[in-house]
Amino acid sequence: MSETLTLRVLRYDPDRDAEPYLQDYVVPYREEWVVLDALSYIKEELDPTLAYRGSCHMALCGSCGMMIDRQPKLACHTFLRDYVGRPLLIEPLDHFPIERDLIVDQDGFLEKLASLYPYLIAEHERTVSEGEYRQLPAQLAAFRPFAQCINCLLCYAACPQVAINPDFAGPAALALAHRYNKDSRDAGELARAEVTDSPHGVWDCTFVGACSEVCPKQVDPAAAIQQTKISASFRWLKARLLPGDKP
Amino acid sequence: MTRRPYHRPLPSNWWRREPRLFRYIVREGTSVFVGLYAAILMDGMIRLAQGRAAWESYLAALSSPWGVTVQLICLGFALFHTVTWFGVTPKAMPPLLVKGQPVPARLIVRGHFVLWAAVSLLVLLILGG
Amino acid sequence: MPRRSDEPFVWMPFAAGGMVAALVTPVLILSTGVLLPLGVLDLSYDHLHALASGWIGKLIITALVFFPAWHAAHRIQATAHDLGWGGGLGLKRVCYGTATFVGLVTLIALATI
Repeated sequence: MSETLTLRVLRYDPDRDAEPYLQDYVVPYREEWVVLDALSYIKEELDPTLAYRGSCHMALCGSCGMMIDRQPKLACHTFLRDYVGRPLLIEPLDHFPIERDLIVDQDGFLEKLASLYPYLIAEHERTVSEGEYRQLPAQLAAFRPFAQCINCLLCYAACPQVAINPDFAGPAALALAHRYNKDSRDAGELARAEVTDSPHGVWDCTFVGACSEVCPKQVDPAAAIQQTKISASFRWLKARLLPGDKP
Repeated sequence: MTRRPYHRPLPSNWWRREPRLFRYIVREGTSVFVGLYAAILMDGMIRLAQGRAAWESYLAALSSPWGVTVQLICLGFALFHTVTWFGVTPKAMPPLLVKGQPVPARLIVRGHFVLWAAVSLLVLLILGG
Repeated sequence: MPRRSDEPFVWMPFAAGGMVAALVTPVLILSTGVLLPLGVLDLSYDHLHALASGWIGKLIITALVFFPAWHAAHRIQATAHDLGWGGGLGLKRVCYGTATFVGLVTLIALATI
C-alpha cells in the first residue's frame, strides 16, 4: 500500500492569476482519511494559502461540495482509499463561478432559493390557543425526503441544464419548493408557482436525473421536479381554459 | 482580495465526458426512431386510403430487407425507450400508499411491464383478426 | 414577476406520447417489422380496412401516430438545444409542425376510408 497520495488541486487567486491552474500536493495516505482531511493537511503543513470550505465533517452542513475526480462529491464523504494509484483531481463545483481556489460563488443559487419562499407560508396567523399543527405520519412522509436537503449544491454541479440555462432555478431550490408545497401545514403553493411554473422554473428540466444520483441525502430532486411539472400543468389548464383573470 | 469570479464555460463535448450524460443523450435519441416509425405508420394509412394495390405494395416494402432493417433498428430504440420510460415513471408520481405503506418503485415499474404485456397481447389479437 | 410558462401545452401531449410510445410502439414494430415479413401476421387490406372503417378505429390509429410523433418532436428540439445544435424557435416550429402534419395527414387519410 502506498504511503502517500498526490492531490491535483485547482488554484485560482483573482489578484494574481489570469486563470486557474493545477497544483500537485503530496499528502500522507491514511486509510481512514477523507478528502477534507487531506485538504486540512495541505493547509496546515504544506500551503496555508489554499482556500476551501468545510465545517461539520459529517455530511450535514453541505459546505464541502467540490469536484473530486470529476464527480460532484462532499469532501468529508469521499475516502482517499478509493482513489489510490493516481493523482486525485480536486476542483471547485462545476457550473458555478470560481471565487478563489475551491470556493465558488453561490449567490446565484441563494437568490433562486429565496425566490421560491423556502419556508412555511401559513394560511392564517395561528394563535397559541389553536394549539399545535397535527401531522399524521403519512403527511410527514409526503415531504420528508425533500426536507433532507443540505444545500450542498452537488446537484447543480451534476445538472447540465444548470450550465445550459443559467437562469434555471435548479434541482435543490425546486426540491425545497416541493418540500413546502407538500407540507400539510403550508398554504404557499400558488405563491411559489410564480417561479416553479415560469420558463426557468421546472420547465428547463429535461429529467436527466443526475441530480438525484449525486445527492448525498437521497433528496431526489428529479422526482420533486417531475411532480411539480404535473401540478404546474393542472394550474396551466385551469388558467388557460377557465374564465378569470389569472395571468 | 478583489473579486474576479472565473467562469468556466460548458465544454461542447459535455455529453461525451460522462457515461451518465451519454446515456441521457442516447435515451433522448430514442425519440428519433419513435418519430421515424410514426412517419412509417402515417405512410401506411395513406396507402390504406389509396386502396388494395397501394396497401399491398406498402406491405411488400415493410417486408423488404431495407424495411426490416430500418424497423429492427426502430424496435431496438423503442424498447430502450420503454425500459427507460417505465424506469422513471415512479418518480413522476407522488408516493403511492397502500394501507399506509408506500409502494416501492420497483413494483410500480413491474406493474407497467405487466400493463405493457397486456396491451401488446391485445394489439396482436386485434391485428391478427 | 416571471410569467407562467405555456410549456404545459407541449409537455402534456409529450408525456402522453411517451406513455403511448412505451406501451404500444414496440408491439406495432414487432407486427410490421418481424411478424409480417415472417408471415405470422397477414395485415391484409380487408382486415386493416375494417379496423379503420369506424370512427373509433380512426381516432385510435391517429392517436397512435400523433402522440409518439409529438413526443419525438419535443425531445428532438430539446436535445438539439442541449447539444448546442440550434434549438430555437425556428426548430421548434419545424419539429412540432412536422408532428402536427403527420397527425393531420393520418387523420385525413383515414377519414377517406
